[in-house]
Amino acid sequence: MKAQEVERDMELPVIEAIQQGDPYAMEELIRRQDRWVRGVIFGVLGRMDEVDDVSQRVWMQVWRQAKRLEDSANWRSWLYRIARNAATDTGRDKQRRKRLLANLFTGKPIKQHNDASPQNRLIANEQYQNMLDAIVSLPRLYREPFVLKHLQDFSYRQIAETLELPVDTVETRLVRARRLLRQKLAGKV
Amino acid sequence: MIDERTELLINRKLDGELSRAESLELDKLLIRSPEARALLEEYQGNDSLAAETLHKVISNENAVNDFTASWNQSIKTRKQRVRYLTTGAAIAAVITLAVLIGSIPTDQPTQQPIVHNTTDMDNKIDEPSMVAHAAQNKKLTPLRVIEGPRREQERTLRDVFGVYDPQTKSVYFLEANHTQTTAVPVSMNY
Repeated sequence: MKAQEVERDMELPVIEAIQQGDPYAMEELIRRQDRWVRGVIFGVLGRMDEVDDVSQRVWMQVWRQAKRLEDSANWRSWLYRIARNAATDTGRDKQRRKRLLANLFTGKPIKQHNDASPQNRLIANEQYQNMLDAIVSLPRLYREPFVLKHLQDFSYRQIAETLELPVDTVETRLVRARRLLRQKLAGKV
Repeated sequence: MIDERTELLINRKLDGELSRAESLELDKLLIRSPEARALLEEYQGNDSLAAETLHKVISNENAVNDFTASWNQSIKTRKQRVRYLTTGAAIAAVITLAVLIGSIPTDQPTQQPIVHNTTDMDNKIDEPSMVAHAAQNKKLTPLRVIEGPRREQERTLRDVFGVYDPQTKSVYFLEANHTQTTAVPVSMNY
């Protein structure tokens, strides 16, 4: 927990340099925070097929909007909002397109693509695939804190701050996420 | 069967959120309950597999390069868009200017009194400057018919003739301008 807080402070000069228009600082931030951003996007979308595109869009927005960030100490919430909104918009667009196509051509809903399997990273290990399927099948409510916890080892407080939720709610959601995951993985792992 | 309290404590332990008192409480529960121990082990296994899976799937080694590529692409696209917009705006400006110049009447509309003497007007209307426009002139409303105020407008028409000279292998263009007068009735409210 302490390590995360120290890391947070260490990012401040990087954020300030980005605000000054330093491209090297931008690269540094991407190197350090890309996994977290992708985790947030995956938590919201619940599939891997568009994480690459959305994360690129997020970093472009960060680079363009960095000057508008007034309180650089709040960069984490700001970055989370950008990533969450980009992922939510993508999800909405995709759903809208699917609905339109379904109505236009067949009148029946189009069969869902198996989003659980990442397109660019083949997971040969069946256990990983089962786990990914189980995480993907979690409701977004539980998936978001679960991914933040397991990807970055955030504390309850940090997850609560990021998701703008009470700490108790975060804890409850993590308990339920583990319970659901256990049920889904019963006999598979 | 595991009670909720035990499950909560197991979760807190896994998340590193257990207080000292809670840690002692959980230790006692784990000693007493093999089910609780099994659950803790299962959750531990799931957690480590979940973390491993997420790291494997979500990490992207080429994030920086991808960003640089997208950024360069976006700059290129923006430059291209600006070029298109500039060209489009220039074309639009030229067209607007041409339309404006073409639509400006050479004379301002004038209000004339009722015409009783038609001789001059006849001359004006039946005196086309170009034979080619005789048919067009026939469509015009003769001024003598108009009772009441009327508006007179003059338009300049241009005819362009092309003549090919085989000796010099050149084409000569001749431009002939002529004026056409139109009269339209004007309604007025008093």
